[in-house]
Amino acid sequence: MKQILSLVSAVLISAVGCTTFNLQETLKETAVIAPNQAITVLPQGPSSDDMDFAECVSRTVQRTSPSLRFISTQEFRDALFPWFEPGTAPDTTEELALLLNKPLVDERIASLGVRYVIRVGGATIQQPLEGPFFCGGGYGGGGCFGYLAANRESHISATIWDLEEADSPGTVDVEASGTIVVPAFILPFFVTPAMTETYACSVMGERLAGFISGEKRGDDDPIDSLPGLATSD
Amino acid sequence: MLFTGSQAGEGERKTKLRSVRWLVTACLVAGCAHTIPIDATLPRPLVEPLPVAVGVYYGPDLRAYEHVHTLVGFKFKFFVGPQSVALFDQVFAHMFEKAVPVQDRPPLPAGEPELVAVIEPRIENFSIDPGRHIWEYVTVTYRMTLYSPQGDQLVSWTVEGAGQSEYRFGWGIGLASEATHAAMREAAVNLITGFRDQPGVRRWLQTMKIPPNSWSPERLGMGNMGSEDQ
Repeated sequence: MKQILSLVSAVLISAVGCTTFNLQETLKETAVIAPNQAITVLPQGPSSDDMDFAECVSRTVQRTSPSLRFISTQEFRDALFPWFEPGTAPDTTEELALLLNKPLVDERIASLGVRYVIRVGGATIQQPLEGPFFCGGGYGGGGCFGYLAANRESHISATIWDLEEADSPGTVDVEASGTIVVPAFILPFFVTPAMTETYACSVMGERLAGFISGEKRGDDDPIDSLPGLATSD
Repeated sequence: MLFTGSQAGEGERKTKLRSVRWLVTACLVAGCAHTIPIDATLPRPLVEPLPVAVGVYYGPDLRAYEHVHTLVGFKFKFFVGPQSVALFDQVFAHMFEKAVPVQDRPPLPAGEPELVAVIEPRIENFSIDPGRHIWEYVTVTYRMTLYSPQGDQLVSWTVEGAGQSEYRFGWGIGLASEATHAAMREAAVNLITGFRDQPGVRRWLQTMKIPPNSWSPERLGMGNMGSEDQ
């Protein structure tokens, strides 16, 4: 029995260990933010995926950099109504510059003290479960043997806007992929989840927090503070 | 019959329970109506008002508009009309330098204050799409019509808003309320940001020598604004 448990544990550990991420960014400079200035995170679009990822990234940045001043999405949108709603928020730096030319908008942003707006969007794709998996039975009993597995990928992108410069310092893209495994020995044990959303969100949040707090990242610097992660960037 | 204190309490509880059972059964049979609360409050829009005085006409159809959604024998009422009036009151107050209510469609009677046009919103459609849970998506379409003081129709177009509830769990009326608020808010956003980009409105503004002053005519507002009818 101990051997079986060891085998199952090995399968689970190897499955979780397969989760990898890839981070690509176009950030050229580090952020310059005064202590009284704030940041806000907005979902890229109205989809529930975008809203979930934006909320998750926002939480991670706040947890990583608790000294940063945050303005919630709703507070920011209400204060800038109707210019940062899901359908009206500028998509390009040209549109952003055009919007910031409006005196009412410019004054409100100055009074809020928001320096950076981070727009976050993302999606998760999961392939169908496949693998050697057999179930059978008879009068004497029955059971299942084998395992099912599926690849799962989460992609998050973040665009940063500097409202003071009316420009974008760059973008960050994170892709996390992993494998979901359903092992079975007589009974299907349980699903080992590939929490690619959480991984991608943690990596993104940590990188954005680093950028905002002035941390410069070299091309070969991995983000490796997340246990169990294998980087591939 | 003589009851002790605890027996009396037990009897009262049973009576109450029986009443609730009857109420639920009666509701299922007769179709009880629940009112979905709609919050039409908007933040103050950051827009320069057009330097004109317009009249605002809310017809009886708009004021009385209600949508009834039936679900497993229960009826849920959305009083969209009165809340739309509250919504447009806020919107027009910031879109125009002056917006005053008028009692009828133009032509305006003699003695009315100096108005350059009258605007009338109507509800063209209100629908609910259950989606993954029972109250996921709400769509509202308003028809906006602008009249000259003499009664000529200057322009008529539609403004749409779609709302989605953000809750992931539960099926309470809060979800319906939230999705409805989001749909009405989006319709207001599309009206405010896209008003000056409507070709008919542009022509009307040009007659008064007012620049359209829009900031992104290619994209903003037009996505959820139907083409004008005139």
